[in-house]
Amino acid sequence: MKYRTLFISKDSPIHRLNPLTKLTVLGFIIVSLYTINWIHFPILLFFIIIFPIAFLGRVFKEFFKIILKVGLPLILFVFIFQIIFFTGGEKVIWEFSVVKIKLEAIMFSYLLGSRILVIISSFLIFLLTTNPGHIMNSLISIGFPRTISYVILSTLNIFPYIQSKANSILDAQKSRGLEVEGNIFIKIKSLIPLITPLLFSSISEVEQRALALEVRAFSSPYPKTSILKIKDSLPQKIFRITTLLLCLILIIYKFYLVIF
Amino acid sequence: MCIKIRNLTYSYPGAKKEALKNINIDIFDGQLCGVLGRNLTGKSTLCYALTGFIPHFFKGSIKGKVLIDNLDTANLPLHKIVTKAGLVLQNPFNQLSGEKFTVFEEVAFGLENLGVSRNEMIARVKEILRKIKIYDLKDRSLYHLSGGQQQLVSIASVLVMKPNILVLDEPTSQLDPINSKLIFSLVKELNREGITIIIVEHKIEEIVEFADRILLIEDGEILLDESPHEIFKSLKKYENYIKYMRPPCYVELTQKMEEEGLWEKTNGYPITFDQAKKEFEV
Repeated sequence: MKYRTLFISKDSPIHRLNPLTKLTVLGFIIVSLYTINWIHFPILLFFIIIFPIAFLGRVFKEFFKIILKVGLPLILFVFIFQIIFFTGGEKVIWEFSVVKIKLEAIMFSYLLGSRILVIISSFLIFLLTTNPGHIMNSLISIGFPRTISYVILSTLNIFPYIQSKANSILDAQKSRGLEVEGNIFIKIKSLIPLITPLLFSSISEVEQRALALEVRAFSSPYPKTSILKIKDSLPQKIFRITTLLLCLILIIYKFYLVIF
Repeated sequence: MCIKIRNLTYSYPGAKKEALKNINIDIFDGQLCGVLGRNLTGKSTLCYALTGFIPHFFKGSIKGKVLIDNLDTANLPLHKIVTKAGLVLQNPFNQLSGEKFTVFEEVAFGLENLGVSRNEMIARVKEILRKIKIYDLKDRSLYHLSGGQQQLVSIASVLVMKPNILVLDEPTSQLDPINSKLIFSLVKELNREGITIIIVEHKIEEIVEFADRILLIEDGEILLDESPHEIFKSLKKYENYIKYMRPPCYVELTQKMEEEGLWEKTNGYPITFDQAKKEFEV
């Protein structure tokens, strides 16, 4: 099955929220990650905010699966890379040849890795619980041009597209005798005949996709209308304004700390 | 008259070879034209020219004119052309906008771009879904449909903009026989309702059954433009084209039987099952 969106249609309080409210929370999470310096803050945010939201949105299973498959390997890579190549720091806790593992490096990698985890998780929950049409309409409503909004949406949804495409290519390569099961080296080796067709077919499909959009008057100069009606409410509007004010306070506080 | 093509020669940007060479065709209102030919001979390019994507989307060198309802497509903006001539592509998945989730939302995509009011949009989408008999799928996710259903959604998404011409570029090439049948019966029905149809296909048995005329393209040129019955009237007539176009199986069968003296041709070779059945009825 090929997908072009991560959205899972369910009835949950998170699904029912206005996309702008979700985007505001997303913005607040990112701002707080970079303004609150407490090292355990991202992990705390992940377990106290992100996890319950995934439960409440009834997408926990899918969320967990993607985090485990994509998020964790990426975070692990960043973590190891940062530990090895971290330049500052003095407290060496382990040494092997030219590689020195420093306490500061571990702390920094932990902070960076947990921040990445929270950002990926937040975007993931947003995409899993928001209809792509609603995302488009929301982006347009806050002033993004339609074409830019479409590019943003496509970029956000690139994961399911690449994954389904990679699966089809892998199936085709397997049927020609490519060995993909086995140890880590066999798995890495099997990536080589996957990447080239994936890259070329994705590029060649760009034209097809642009053509498919133009078949339906995507570049028409008329003011666009929408078949979707996005629900909003006064409490949500108040919540959004409050969250944005909080973001502003956090940013001002951060600059205040930096300057003084 | 619906479409007029006059002295159309086209080559893609950077290409030395011409993709279409001196094409002259008149397609009349309500006609159903089957376009046949080998791969990479210019069939898709002809579809793009018929729907204004050449020169608006694909640049390159172009000579000659394509007129839809006497309006030169070169002077009409693409968003106006798509309301006159709709294009359905080969791969149903690649035609999904990627912006919508349900069938209902996807079909409305073109109307949203054209700025149609919400109420009118809902009415038009419902009408087209009923017409194409996929109203039951309206709330289904686009990603849980079969290839045939996705292709029906693509056709609905184009038809909802009310074009009177529908150009289909190998709409069944990626579908199984059951889904292909679904598309062919819809095409027949749409044509009966008055929509002019130009369909590129390799499945000759299906095409000859309902096409008013067959256009055979080879190397960017129209080699043949005749009714299917006329083409297969005599072996002499179609043997020049046999390397470009396989005849329907009924023609091959009766021709073989004729060679062995088991059957005698009276009024051409049968091209459809019904005609073949009639021939063999005692």
